[in-house]
Amino acid sequence: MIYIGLSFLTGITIVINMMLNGKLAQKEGLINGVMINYFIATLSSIALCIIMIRSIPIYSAIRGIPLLYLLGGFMGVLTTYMFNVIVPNLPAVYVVILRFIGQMLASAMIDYIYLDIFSRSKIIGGILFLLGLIANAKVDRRYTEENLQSSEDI
Amino acid sequence: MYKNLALINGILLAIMVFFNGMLANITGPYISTLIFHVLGFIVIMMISLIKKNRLSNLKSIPLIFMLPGIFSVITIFLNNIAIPQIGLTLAIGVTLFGQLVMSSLVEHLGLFGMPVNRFKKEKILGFSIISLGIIVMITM
Repeated sequence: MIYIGLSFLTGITIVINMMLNGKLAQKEGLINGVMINYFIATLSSIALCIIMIRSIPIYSAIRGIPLLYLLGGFMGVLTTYMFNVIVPNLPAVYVVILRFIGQMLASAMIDYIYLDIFSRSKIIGGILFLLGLIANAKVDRRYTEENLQSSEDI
Repeated sequence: MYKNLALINGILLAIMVFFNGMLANITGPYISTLIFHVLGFIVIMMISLIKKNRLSNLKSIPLIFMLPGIFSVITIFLNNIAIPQIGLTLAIGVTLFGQLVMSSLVEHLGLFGMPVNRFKKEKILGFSIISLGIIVMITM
């Protein structure tokens, strides 16, 4: 249960980050925004490692890392860059829903292939989640249409 | 075209989180968080060099903008400890739920200088379905 709480907290930090990063990119440009972000993040993770030096595995374990897993670091920049290209060109509703579908599909497949977890309940839960997102998107669309209508009346 | 990109963006995010989780399995969550950010920093520095980007003066930037870097570490770190325990699908599902709750809160209260967009009662139905989805994922 504690890990579910931690994942929820992750979602909160992601939103705060998106807000602040958006503003930083406006001020300093996209590349500088991302660079400042990673610079501070590198410093903070060094600090974290120094504090936690006792629980860090020996060097030989680190040398055996498959190169594939290092791709995560590259993909972090790639996905941020892509996200910033997509956002101005696609209505937010589509951004949220399509990214959701992509993430859930891919993670269900990875769980199944690599971690050997397949649960029908997670698929059902994911579909319910998606239906809820679509229902909310419809409410939003009705409101924007009404706003357009009323501004035309004036 | 942008719709496809958004879908691919989601797929890549899931793969990224998975790679990090596997990395954390080998090195522990601390070193994997460091590796992720050092590599990212190198990539963005290379992009900056190629594009002949002019660096900004760190001193002129308000301290609040240092927060995303710190939060980024917290995000990756929390992911790295949660995924080996509860699996990728559940971790990502709950994270998305957290994003949804937080962004509704930001809009409702107009935090971070965002325009206030009050929570609409009609959305209770949608949120109930979403919450039900999360409960099904967690408990069943």
